Amino acid sequence: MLRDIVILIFRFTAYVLIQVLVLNNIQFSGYINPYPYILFVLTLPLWISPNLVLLLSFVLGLTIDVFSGTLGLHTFASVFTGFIRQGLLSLLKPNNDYKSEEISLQNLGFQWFLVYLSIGIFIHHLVLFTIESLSFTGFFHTLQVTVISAFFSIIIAFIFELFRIKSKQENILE
Amino acid sequence: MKRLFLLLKKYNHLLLFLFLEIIAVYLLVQNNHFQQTVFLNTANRVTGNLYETKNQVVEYFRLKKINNELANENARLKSQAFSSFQPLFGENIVINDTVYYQQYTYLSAKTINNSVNKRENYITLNKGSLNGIEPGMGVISTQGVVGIVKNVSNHYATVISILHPKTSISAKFKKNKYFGSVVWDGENYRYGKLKDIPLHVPVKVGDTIVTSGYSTIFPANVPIGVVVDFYAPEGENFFDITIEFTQDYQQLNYVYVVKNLTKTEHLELEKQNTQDTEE
Repeated sequence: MLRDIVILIFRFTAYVLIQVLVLNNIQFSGYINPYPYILFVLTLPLWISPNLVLLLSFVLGLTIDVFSGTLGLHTFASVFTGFIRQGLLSLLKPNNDYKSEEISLQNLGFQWFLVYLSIGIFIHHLVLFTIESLSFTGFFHTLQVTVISAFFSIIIAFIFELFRIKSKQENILE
Repeated sequence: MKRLFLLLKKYNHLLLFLFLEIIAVYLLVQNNHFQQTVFLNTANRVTGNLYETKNQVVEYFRLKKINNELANENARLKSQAFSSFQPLFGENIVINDTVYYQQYTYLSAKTINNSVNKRENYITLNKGSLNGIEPGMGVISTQGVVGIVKNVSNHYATVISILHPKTSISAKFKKNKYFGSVVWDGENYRYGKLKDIPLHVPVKVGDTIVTSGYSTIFPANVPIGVVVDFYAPEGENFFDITIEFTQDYQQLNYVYVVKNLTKTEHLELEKQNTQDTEE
């Protein structure tokens, strides 16, 4: 349990730092703005209660906001994702329920994880970019940015997941 | 009362969700209000320090380009310096030259945080009020206009970039002095719009746009952009002109903060005009 919490704190810090220091600087023609940090919310283990998921989403969003200079924006999208996560998990529940408390690529398989991640990230990005552009340009532009950015976020989130698999094997070896 | 508690218990998840979202919306509205401070965002200590550390690392990869730019600028300034002029009439004649007075001073600063991909872009500089920066000062780079200082802390300053829907910069054609204003439409960070140019003005692709110097913020003739496209919208009296910014805002590094020494005098004088007409 304690080890799980330490790992969660480590992942939180790592995702925030990668997001703020690396990914926020990818500004290819203004269309590609990947925000894979939301992977943290989507892969919180099942033993965390829904209310705690919301609070953690709030803290994560707020942290990203403070560093990106967009107070409230990521907080809103992140809490929203934390809320729909519950419904998404029961909607996608495998026939024989979740075998483990961990929601990860390793436990649930590539196909399931791809569907889950794509829906989660797309909704998060759609909310995010819609709020960001609310008073400015048309919906089509927003949708375009959402689709392109979500695509890159999914790829990067998968890479993050691969790191988790590796660290688990190492732990077993220990 | 009991029922109320039961209701609260039943919907506690939804209520928590709504509560957190209301906080987020509150923050969003507070923060987007133009006159409100963006102080919390990038100018405070913690984030400022983190970005400064990051910048120290990233800067190494761009040193060559930065060196080139600074060397070019040095060469240009040297050619204007007093030592590169020879007295025309020998050394015996002393001319008390009082014709010139200094209007602008420049302060070099480094950008430690920058964005071009948002609707509202801000830049953070590594100098603040202790270095004499005040809100409202202009910021330029060696290649063009950058923005206007918005908030200042002791060691950092935030700048509203030209890539912000609320920024409007007084500009003119370098060749014929017709003036309008440059704004950004939020689409591509390399291109902006020049507004208020009447249809009788001869516009050509490739025309250079510079600051007009009418505002008290920027000196005249600082480059802004080059005309890349223009057309006359039907039923309107003004051109729709697209310009490409001379400065690539993604490559921003060293900038100059402009201090206008006669700003107060300028504004006071113009204020008298409005007061006179009111009376």
